[in-house]
Amino acid sequence: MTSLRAERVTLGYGRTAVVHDVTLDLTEGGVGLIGESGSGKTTLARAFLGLLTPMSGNIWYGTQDLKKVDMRKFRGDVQPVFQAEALDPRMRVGSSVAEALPRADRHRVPDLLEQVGLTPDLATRRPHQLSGGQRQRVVIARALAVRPRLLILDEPTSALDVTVQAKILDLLAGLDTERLLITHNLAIVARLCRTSHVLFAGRVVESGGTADLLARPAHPYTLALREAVPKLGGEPPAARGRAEARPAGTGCPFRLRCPLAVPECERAPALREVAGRRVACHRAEDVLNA
Amino acid sequence: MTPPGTPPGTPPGTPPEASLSEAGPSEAPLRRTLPKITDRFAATGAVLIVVVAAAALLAPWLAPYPEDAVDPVNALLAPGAEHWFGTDQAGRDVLTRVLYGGRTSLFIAVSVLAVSAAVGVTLGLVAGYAGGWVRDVIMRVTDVFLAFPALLLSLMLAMVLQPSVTTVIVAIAVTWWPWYARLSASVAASVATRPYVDAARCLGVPAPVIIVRHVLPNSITPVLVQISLDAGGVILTAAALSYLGLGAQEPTAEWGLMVDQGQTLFTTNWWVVTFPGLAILVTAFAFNVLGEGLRNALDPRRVVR
Amino acid sequence: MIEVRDLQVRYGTRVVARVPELDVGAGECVAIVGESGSGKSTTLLSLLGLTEGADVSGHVSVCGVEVLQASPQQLRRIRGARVALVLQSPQAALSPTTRLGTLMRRALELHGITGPRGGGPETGGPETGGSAGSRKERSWKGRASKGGLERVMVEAVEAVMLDPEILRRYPHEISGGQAQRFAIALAIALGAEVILADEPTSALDVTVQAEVVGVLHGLREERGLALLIVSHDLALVSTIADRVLVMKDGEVVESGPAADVLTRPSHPYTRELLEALP
Repeated sequence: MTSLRAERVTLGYGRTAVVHDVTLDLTEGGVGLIGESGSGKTTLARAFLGLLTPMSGNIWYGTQDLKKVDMRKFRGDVQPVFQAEALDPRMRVGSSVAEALPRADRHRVPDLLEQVGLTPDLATRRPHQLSGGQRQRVVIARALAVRPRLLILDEPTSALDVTVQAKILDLLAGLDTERLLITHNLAIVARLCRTSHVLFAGRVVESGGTADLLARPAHPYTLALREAVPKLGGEPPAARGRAEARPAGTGCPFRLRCPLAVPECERAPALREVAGRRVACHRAEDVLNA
Repeated sequence: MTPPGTPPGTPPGTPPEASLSEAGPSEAPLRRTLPKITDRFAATGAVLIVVVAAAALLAPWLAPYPEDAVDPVNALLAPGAEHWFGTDQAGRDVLTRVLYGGRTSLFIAVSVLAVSAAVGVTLGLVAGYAGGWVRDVIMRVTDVFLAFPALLLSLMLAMVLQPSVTTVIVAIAVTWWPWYARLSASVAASVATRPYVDAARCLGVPAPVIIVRHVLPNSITPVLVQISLDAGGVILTAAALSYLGLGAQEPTAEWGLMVDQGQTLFTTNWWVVTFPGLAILVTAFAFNVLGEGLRNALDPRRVVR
Repeated sequence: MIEVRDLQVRYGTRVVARVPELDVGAGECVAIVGESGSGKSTTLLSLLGLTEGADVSGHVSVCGVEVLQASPQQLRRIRGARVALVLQSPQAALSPTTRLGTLMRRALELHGITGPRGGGPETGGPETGGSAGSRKERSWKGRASKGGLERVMVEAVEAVMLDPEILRRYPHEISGGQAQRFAIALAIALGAEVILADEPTSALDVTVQAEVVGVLHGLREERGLALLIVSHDLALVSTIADRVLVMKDGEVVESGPAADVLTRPSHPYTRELLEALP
């Protein structure tokens, strides 16, 4: 297993931190990072890819600090799969895949395209001549070109139609690489990741086994996320007008939206062990028993 | 949703969903009709420029007289069958001088734009892609150049150097490149954040290669538009410098210089100054029309807004 | 409110949408479900005569206006005022340098609304007061309670669960979900009877999506708004729609009461969509 680990990292742009003091281990069986827009999940992904240097804390690659690692080796080990728009619009998709290969290996492009379920003749097309699903497959093919051991998947299916999404998930589930999946979609985490972390406002609020976490959330935010996913034939959602409230200052970042908030929540909760997982909530026991 | 903007002749195999969704559905129909109109606009400019450029290039064959055939006996003849545009105070054929003058003026314009674009775009791309202190340093230098009034700086430079065509080119280029640097830096900075650039970085593609392969092609369009919009301005500035006696020198034919020499005669012998003046006007206008048309054709949404 | 018969939208020789029948009554919610390229958005836009460059045939009646025969003036009168269009990213449609309150007031003034009304507009519901707002309020800042116009605005904003304080903000200062709800508030303030929503929540997070859908649902219950929603998300529309049309490649492959379509899909494509649901 390619070991990649964030230790108390704070990340941001300029002087503004968007990810605070996060410790995260990429373990076997797939790791999910669940969060909404603004939760800092993509920022964390960029740090894991070595595209962003932490403001504080370290990213460990094996036993080495990522800052001091031989990037050539690292790049061959860890590859991103971004959304379908991750292809240069002016480049033929074959060239985009070939970019990942040494000159002598360019003949592998047709094989790689076939590996992701595309016909090799698509190599001469440009991205806008492909469907969203085909583009996403090209993005995956390019990542696979260097034979990585870990894929960092950033919302790999969120721009796709549902039927296409299902096929891309099948493809991803069949790859023999480790994966870090970053998404807002609970359903696809359940499919691809054994462990999951829920990120809210740049902090990990709950970590644990994915199945466990979704079946019995211990953080009110995880619960809210699960409840918000529309269910076929379910009840119409009720609007409470609070879904975007973000409090200022210290304290639990979720307290304004939390139905269980108590005065104690003005004090920031630390991550603690509750029922076999780690939760940052003063009232985790109450959430579990609710 | 089906893209209303997809023309009937869409290449085979293009999936219907590929071209839409980014374009708001309501503006799609507009996008379909506008490029046609603006393309015609751009085409008019392009045709005019081709005519002007061809006339200038073919001057030795088109011109009815040698470039500097002085003929004092026939000085200041009004336009007629012998001399369509008349003659100047030295008896030189004005049509011939306008044709040859086009070579000088267009040469200046092309040189200035090529030099400023090469310098400006290179610095701009590096600044935009690298960000951080690299960007700060390059942009501060750019700002210093931008702080001078362009014409004034050109004037000063032209006065320090020997008056000549090269002087004009250097003087204008020095004040011109910062605009391209700034424009391409801002475009490149936004291109640099695109996922395909990140993906290339994750593949370990070296920065210079990323800049040339991904950032340059995806940020050059607005610069090209700007260049064609600017060409008219360069010709006018060059004409102004020559008019002030700081540029092309006698006996070189150059439009600005011709206007300068003819201005005192305007009331009595209007043709000496009018024809080179018209040439400047037409050329500057053609480039502007082309630039405007290019802008619309390449980015129809700007018109819609 | 909406009545469509034998609608056909063509670009050149290509038929991009064909809808034999579509009815939405007051207080009803109908959803058109399909994937990219199914013609669902085109159908929606054709209801407001917004498919320029297309050949549209059939019979389309919206709020009593024959859309396909209507003059541009007639169309302009129903667009916005009686029929509101809510798009995927409303923020792009908001002028970035104008406060939301100013924006809303201008829209109201443009449609000649100066004070509160009761019931549905123009249908002559119970008329209540509403003369106080005839004078132009230059500043609604302070306490947004003076003047009828302010009352309309505050009421509309509160109806979508936004703090009236939002009227003081600029478009870039609000989130996507707030912008979407503001767009709905604008429709309410203008007295819209029909809301046409094109993927209103696909750019939003799930929790925010629930909120926006909840607001739409509440408005239909409380105010009898007619709702036509275009979406790719079968699960989402199943929670609020009375009837569902499933479109594929420009054709309606299945339609009927939501419960029937979802529990007893008759078309293989509908089944495929249902199975693809995570």
